[in-house]
Amino acid sequence: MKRRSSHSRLGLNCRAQVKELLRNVQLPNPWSMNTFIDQLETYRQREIDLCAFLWTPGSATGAWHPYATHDVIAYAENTTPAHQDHTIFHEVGHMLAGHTPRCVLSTTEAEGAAPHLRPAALNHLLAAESHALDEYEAELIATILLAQVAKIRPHGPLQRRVEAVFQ
Amino acid sequence: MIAGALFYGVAVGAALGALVRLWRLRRATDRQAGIAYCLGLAALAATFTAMAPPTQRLVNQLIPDGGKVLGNALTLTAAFSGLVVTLYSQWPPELATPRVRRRLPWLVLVLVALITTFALPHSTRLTGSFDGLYSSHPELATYTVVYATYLGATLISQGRMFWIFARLAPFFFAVGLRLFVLADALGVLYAAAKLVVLGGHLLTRSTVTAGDTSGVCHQAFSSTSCAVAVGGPATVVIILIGAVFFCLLSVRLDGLAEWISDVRSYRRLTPLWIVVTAAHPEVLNRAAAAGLDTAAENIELRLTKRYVEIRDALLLLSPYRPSGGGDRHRPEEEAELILTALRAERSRQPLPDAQPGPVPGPNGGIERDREWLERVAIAFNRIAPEPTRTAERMTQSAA
Repeated sequence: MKRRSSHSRLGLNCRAQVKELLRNVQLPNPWSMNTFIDQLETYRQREIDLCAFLWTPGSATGAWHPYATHDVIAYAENTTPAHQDHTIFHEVGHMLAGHTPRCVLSTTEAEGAAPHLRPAALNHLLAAESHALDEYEAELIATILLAQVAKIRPHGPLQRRVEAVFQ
Repeated sequence: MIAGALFYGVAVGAALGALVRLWRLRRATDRQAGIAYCLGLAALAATFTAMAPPTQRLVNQLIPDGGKVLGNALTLTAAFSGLVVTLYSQWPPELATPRVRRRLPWLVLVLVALITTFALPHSTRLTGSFDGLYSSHPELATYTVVYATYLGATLISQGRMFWIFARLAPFFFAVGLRLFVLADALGVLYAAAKLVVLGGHLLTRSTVTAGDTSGVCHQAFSSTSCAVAVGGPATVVIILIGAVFFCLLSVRLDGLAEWISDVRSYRRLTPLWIVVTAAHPEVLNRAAAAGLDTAAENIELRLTKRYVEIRDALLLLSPYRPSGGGDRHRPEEEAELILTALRAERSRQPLPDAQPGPVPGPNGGIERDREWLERVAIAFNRIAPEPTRTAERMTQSAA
């Protein structure tokens, strides 16, 4: 009961965090993750680098590492764009909730997995660990955000005005 | 009495709608459009109040046949306000306002013309319908021409815009907007019919009035003149009520349609989800370990979660996929490839040396990807019709 109620509170917190985020960072219409990340950078006043890597069995599908001046989010490139969006949202969820990842790979191992990134930009990136509760929180935030993206209908300004007036 | 109740009922509904819109102005993103809509509903309320038989009788006691010119003037004002709403919907406020200002003098001119032609002395006492008086009272013909022409032109502009809006709208909202188009089309027909009746009376120099000898139509469609004067407008009113009703409720109705669609998608994904998550239960572990009660979440979240779990599991299965195939091959082929990968993994075949290729799927957003997976799931269900037993058999054969 205690565990369940703490998850209920966490669920409410996640929803509140997403609501607060979407008040300041609108989901672009038509949907574009790059545009969303640009807006998120402006909101957080920190750069975010997206890094695609080839997922192989045994590795994580995504990771996030904060640096002094910027954040790096890695995501598996060998899956569909919508699935990649979820992975990125998951890492954004860690970011929003202020989680602290622990790195378990060396720089050499990380460079081997993503050789196209400059070494200075990629350090201790992959296979960062998070607490199980942190994972739940990030996953819920990602699911809520992706569900919002699913509701986006390509609307021009005319459509938006008509709906605003008549509905 | 019934007619009066209907008119006053519509007026009260329109007035309440105006008040609700006024209250919503606090949160409106486009205040000018919101104000235009409020004023449009208020004009509609005033028109229906003026057109109600008891109001007409009261006004006619003060000014003979004054109820007619009041009703006509308010009808034109309501039509103009409807046009203003479409202009503020079509254009941003800074472009809509000049367009409204250019059209406003025409309304003022028409209203002045109506009141002037009505106020001129007439040899006959006016009793509602001008039919039969056109040849002897050319000013009444002018009145009717000005009224019908302005009403028709305004409704054509309005109807054209509602037609364009309807093509952009989701289903139930589009129904409401198309009902506005229908009401406008019938209104244009009514205006045209008035001109045709006028023309007929002028050509034949007829003195026949609409309805009975007093010019009153006791039934809406008892004659052609009564159909034009009473039945037609009454039909337009009923359609207008339906249009406003659908537009107001369309958010809920389209939301309900979307909910039903989400439930359908959730069920369609089930056979594929059962099998691939049985092969890779770790994709469910985060939720299970955290004690997340997914049944309590709304269908949007549950559907999104199901989609993600399927995609996570397919990525984990990707090393066992036979090479070849892209994102354009048929759902049936994809279902076969997934089944082959599941069998290869369960039979503990060694991992191929090649790097896992991309997991097939459309390049679009989550909606397209989900629709694709639904088609794959339907095909999968055909080749593995008992997904739970398939999952159990695969687990047992692997053991």
